[in-house]
Amino acid sequence: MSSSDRFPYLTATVLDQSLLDNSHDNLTCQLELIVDIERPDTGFIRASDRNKYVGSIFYEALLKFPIISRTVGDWLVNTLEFSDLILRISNVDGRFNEILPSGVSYDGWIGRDITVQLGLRDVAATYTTIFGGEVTPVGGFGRDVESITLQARDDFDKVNKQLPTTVFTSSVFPDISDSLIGSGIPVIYGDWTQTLTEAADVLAFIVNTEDDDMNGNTSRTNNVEVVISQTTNKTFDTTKVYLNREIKKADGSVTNFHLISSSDITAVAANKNQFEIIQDSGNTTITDADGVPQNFVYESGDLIFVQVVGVDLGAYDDNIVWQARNILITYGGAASFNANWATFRDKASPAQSAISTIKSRIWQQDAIPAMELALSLLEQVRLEIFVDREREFKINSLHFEDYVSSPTFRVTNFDVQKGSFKPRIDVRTNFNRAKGLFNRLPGTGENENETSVFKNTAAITQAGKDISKRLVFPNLYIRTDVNNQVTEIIRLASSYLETIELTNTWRTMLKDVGDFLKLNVQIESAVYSDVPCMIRSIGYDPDGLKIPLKIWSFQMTPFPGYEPGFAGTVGGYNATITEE
Amino acid sequence: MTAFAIQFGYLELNYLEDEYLGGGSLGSDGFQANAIINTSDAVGMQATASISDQEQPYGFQANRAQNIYHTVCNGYLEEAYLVDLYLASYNCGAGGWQANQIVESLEPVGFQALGVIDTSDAVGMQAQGIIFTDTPSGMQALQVLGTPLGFQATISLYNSQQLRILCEFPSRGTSGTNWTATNTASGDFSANNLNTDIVEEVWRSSTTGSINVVCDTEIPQGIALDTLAIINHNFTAGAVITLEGADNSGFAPIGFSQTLQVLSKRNNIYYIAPTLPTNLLRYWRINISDNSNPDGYYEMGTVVFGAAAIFTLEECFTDNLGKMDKDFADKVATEGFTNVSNSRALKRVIDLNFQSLNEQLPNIAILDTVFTTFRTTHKCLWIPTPDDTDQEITDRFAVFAKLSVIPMQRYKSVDNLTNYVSLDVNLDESL
Repeated sequence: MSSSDRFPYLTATVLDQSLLDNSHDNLTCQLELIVDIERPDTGFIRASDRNKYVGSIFYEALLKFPIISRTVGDWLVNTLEFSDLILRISNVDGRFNEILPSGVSYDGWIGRDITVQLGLRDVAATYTTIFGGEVTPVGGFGRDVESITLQARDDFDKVNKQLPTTVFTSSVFPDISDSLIGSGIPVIYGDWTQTLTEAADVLAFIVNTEDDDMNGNTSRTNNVEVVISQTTNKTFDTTKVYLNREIKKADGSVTNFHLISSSDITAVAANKNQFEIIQDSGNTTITDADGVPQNFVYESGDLIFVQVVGVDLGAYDDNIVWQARNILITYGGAASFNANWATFRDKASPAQSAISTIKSRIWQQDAIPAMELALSLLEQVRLEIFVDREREFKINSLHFEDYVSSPTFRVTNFDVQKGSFKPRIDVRTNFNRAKGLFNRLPGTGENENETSVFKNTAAITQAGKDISKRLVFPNLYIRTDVNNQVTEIIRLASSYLETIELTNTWRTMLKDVGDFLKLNVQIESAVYSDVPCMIRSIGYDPDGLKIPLKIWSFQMTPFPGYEPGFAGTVGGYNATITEE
Repeated sequence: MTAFAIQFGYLELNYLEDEYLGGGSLGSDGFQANAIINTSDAVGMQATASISDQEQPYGFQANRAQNIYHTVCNGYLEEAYLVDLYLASYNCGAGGWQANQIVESLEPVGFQALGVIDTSDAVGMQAQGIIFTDTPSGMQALQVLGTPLGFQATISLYNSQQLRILCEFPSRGTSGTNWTATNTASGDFSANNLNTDIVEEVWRSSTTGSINVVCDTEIPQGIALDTLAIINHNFTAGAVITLEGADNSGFAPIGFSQTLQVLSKRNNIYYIAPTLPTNLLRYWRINISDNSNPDGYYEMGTVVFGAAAIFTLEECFTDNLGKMDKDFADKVATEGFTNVSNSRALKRVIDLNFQSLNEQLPNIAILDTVFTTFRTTHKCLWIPTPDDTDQEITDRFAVFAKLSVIPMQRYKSVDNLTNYVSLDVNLDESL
């Protein structure tokens, strides 16, 4: 509660929830936005919507801030959501002409860093970043007679670089087949030595099929040259190299996989991603259609499959969280990760959320942005990634046991802007029946396995019909892991998850994506009594320093510690999910 | 002894001699003299005057004789030369003129002179003035020596009570980087921040104690300072703020010193000169002593000083003056039927109404200069109610602001030469 000091924000040096609460009791505060824009020459443009100091740095009134938002995106929607920012900076007096095209110090704007911060008065220690990104290459810079316009995307975009980073080329492999030129050289993570569908599942590529001294056009003097991946593999089992050649015997039986003798495996690269096969040595024999063993020599159409363990991640080679992290670092250049990545990496219970025991593996040849792949990986174990206020990549959990049953931050009518409260059912993520597809194989590019159909009978009865969805887990390959995820997802999706859009006052400004709040409002017919809600997106509107929010209401979604027992509750953590 | 014949009968021959001549006259008499100069000795005056009224004050008339006899000029200034055609009615030689005037009265005295001086020769005094009013007025002279001319005078009218507008700031020097301080905090707190119109961009010290903030106007002959404002400071009521001026950077000697009044309401300080400054000084400094300042440092936002344009005593704005403090706060109406705000700034707005300003007087010209030169783009210091002793009065309606719009001037024409102008001026600190 507020003290007799009606203006606590004028003297405070720490911006915490207590100060915001006290100031809110007096219905006013003094929160301000600033932006630092990297100049093409040196230094920064320090701007704000008012003339002010932060610490010893002066920020001049040069712009009006737009609404700045950060989001974790929509659940189970295959669209990457970036946070965008467009700033229009006054240049009416021509002060920036020197760093504009034809200016003496112009050196391009693409990639320049933009950081927006929010804090209290001029107290530097209270300022936190609410947006960090770079000027985008497409449409990132523009100007008119009065201003400069800069568009930036957050760090999601910065790390969203394509992988694999190398492709098969004739300059590197002069004897490669034309059909392979331009194809990506695969990236491999995880353990491809177990739970296999065939003798070996990792497709390796013969890169000298056009070599006449290999393919027999001239001779067989050269070895078969094989590339496995662009990544360094932790292990390569030379005793498990298989030739894939269909041989149909007279009795109708078909043999596809033929073991190559380890004696014929040679020239293994130090990073275990390339090797050669000696032909016609007599060590490897292939029984032909007539049942006669023949020395192995290359034939057109031959494929090679191997067993490897991909990128060495220490004790976490097949940990899905650590694989996602490594992909962001290696291919996205990400550097800042919240400490909760390790927490979720090591999570061991309950069984359905025991990340440390859930196995994942990746074989990626088709081009894909790094962030998109990382998001897909984590979504398969009901986790999400977002960029937090510290500009770190942080994990948001959708595990029921991680929800906060009694949040300390309470939202009442006095926090909500008039007319902004809009609840709605999220129809895209409301279903009561699902099946999981999993274990995508390199050779086929298809998910090899599928689970049984799981359903929430009570939800189906309530809805009058089943609402089905197919869930894909391309990187999981243990059936029980996938069964668990499908079950948990149906429990959440069948609870009629409600999304609420509302705009709060600045008292909510210290909250972040993934945080929980307790909703206690009565707005016309909408009544929420201490309902825990998760923040899905948060914005900063400079007009009033309003905080636009999108939250999930768990009013009808029981989870551990929150079981309000409303009639008609069919979903939630303890909903009964049965296997058809 | 020269004999005088005085026309009373008794003061003439047979009576005015010997035993009839006394040591002095007992009566108040007039003076009539019929002097016959028949001596070569230099005589000062010849007069023929007729006194007919013995009671009333008597005028004096002198008839200049056409014939001037000079006994030492070898004949040329005597008959037959110094008569008729040979006599001029004036002396064309350059004569001197000396006046020894002691003014013993403080009462306003008029001075009216109409002279056309068309020679460049040094003549001791030259004056050209046109006074078309009977109103008692003082006289002041501003002497600017460019070429030694003996004496030059510019007459101006000064007062410390009328609206004054300071738009030119010699405090900003010619370079704009003309301020220094004996102590400045690190960061964007340079002393040259005092030269910006952005009052939030401040000079700040790193400590308290006695600190000098020095301005070199960079004008060799110095400037007259009749108006000063320090805007957006953090001094406490107990601070001692002293304005000093000197013609050298060592401030030895100090040519001007004045303790400034720290106001109780707003964080501004003003100085209004009680009389027209005659001491032109190049260097000015503000000495700050405020050891009990809780901030642990001093800061000032903007400092402006110079010679303001001042309304004359005849005209002023009307009694209908408007003042508003505009609160820039973002408000959010909540579902709790309460507005929640985020505070920004408090800025002042002043409305001045002028009725029937005489176009013949300089006041409307002052406003016109502001409108056409400084427009709505430049801030000026407007002080509607200056006071040279109590700055709380000065602060009542003072603003460092821009015109919100160049006002419409409404003319009422009396004749071809006489027009009266009415207008409203709106000043806004937030623009």
